[in-house]
Amino acid sequence: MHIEETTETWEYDGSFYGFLTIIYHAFKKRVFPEIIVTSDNAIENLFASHWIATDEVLAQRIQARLTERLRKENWQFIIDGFYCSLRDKERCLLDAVKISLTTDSLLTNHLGHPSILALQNALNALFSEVHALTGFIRFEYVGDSLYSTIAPKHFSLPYLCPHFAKRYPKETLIIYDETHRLLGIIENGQIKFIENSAPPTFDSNETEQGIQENWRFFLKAVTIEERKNERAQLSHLPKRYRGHMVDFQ
Amino acid sequence: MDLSRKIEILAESAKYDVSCSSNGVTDNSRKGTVGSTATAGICHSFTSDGRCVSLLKLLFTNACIFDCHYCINRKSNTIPRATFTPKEVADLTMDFYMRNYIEGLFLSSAIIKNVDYTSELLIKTLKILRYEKGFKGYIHVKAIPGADEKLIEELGFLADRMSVNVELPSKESLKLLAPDKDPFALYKPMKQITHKKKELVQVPALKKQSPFVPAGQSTQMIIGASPESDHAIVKIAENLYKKYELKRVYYSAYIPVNQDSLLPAITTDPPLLREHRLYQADWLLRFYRFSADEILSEDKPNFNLYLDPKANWAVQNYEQFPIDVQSASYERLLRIPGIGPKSAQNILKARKYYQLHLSDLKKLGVVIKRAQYFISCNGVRQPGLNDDPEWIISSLISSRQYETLKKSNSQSQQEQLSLFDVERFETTKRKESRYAH
Repeated sequence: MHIEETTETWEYDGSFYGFLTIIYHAFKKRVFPEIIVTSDNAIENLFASHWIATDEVLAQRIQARLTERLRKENWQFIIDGFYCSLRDKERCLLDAVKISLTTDSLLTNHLGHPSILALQNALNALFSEVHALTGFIRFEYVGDSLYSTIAPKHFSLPYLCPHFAKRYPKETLIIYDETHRLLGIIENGQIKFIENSAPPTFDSNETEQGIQENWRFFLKAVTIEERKNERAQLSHLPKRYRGHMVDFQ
Repeated sequence: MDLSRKIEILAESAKYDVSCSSNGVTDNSRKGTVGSTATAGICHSFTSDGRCVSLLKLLFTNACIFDCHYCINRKSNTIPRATFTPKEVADLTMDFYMRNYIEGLFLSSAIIKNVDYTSELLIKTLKILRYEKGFKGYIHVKAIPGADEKLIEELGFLADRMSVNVELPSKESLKLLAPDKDPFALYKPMKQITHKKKELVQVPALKKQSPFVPAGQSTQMIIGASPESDHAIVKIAENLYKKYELKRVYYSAYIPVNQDSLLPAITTDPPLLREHRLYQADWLLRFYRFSADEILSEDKPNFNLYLDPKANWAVQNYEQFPIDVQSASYERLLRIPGIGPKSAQNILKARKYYQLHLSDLKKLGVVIKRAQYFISCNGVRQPGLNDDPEWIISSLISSRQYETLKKSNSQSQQEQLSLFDVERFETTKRKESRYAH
């Protein structure tokens, strides 16, 4: 498959469907832009950009097509890649689409390609934050449901919810992501999201405070003073997680 | 006594147990209404000593009838004593678990009345959790040596992981420092659990009741309370991994808690660096396909405290290097200092379709600073390197590192010098023998 690499700059609205529209145009015209920007970071870019309008019908068509054509794992890699925090992820993802259209081998076997390596590293950052949060999230009972606030660096909440849906199959859980203003609600194992949500407010209650107190007693009691090593603690549990942990209040 | 005070006393008494991992359950088939387990385990917090908190680590009681010299809970110590009830432990576990503070429970106990009675209390606690609370999360429980086989088996069906602490690496030390414990009884539950697990593998899946110790067994050895050499300890660990299929062996630097003529003085610092080297050796055994005798030998029985065991091996076997990263097998890649299982796998993937360059390795996770002395890439080596092992050793240890290591080294001055000199002597010797040919 020959594709011409140009020096063009393309701009889109930053949505997943918008990105699928970009895939459509890139492969239809067989040209790859040098830079792809979203309306959010377009200002940082000096060059005039070519606006690609999101076309939902086209996007759904290309989505169906890619789901059919690409190996399952590779398509998932591309979807996850779209939600990672890599700066020029869109451009790297075009390379990923191109590679996975020409081969059936796993994209993760193409670490020799700089775009795939960059995506892989960004995905690792996302998934390691998800893993860290599975441990560092703290819930408290508000009425009958469990509530928690997080401030993740990456778009972690959607990847986090399935874990808690499985862990507490009979509970109602509400997790609020401050960074992305995203509210995740898990009810009897069913997950849904509310975008652009304001943080929910409520009063703390006494039973909860008693249990949090006991937890801090416990943490203090299992600490071995003779082995004090705050640097190790810092590297395992960076400060950015601590703001929402009752352990440090 | 109120609950918070009990938590304080009985968590404090449990803190010298190192194990806090919640890993190893691959397929959670337990019945229940709440809880999950993760194959790799999950850390929920880290205390200011840098240790992971994954499980609610408690002693059921610290009112012990034994008088082991090294133990904080020995009966001759005057410390506050407390005992939980099974319901208290179960409720506390659920309170913490629902708020995502913990992955589960780590329940150990001092010996109260006798070993069977103690085991029965542990069983009662676990039964409340599993049957009344419907708890499917992780439970690690101590097998009490000397307890009735039936009780150990019953615990095994309720728990995910079980452990018996070897504590002291030899029978002689055990007799001296743990006079109430029977050194032979210590390995019995370990053996029993291994056998039972093997036996149950033969049972067809449909007939299986609940899983039996699905996350396997672990143990712990105290380092620095008795005179065993590092080689002896690594050998024991290797044996435990092979013979009893243990999942983990933990090492715990002895912290002098008791004034006792048989033990290091209470002012002695814990041998943290030695413990660290033992863990590195343990990793080499489990993930790097090394054998104990490759790491240490009879005539060189202790670790070089200034060089990690893998780098030490590489320098001693320098004739096997450089290894070419484009063509070397996975096993060979693992032998290179600065390359671990992850970066070795990344190298395999990256070179499948593309030619590697030295400059790519960093992005693949290789620690170039260490690896550079031992690798080539399609025949190309990093420029400016010297093949003299002594030069390599001094480059591997930066002066800053040397200073920190010296500080955290609790061995006596004499020992330190001799270790470093052995290293120097050996490399000069090898250098000379090269000229002789």
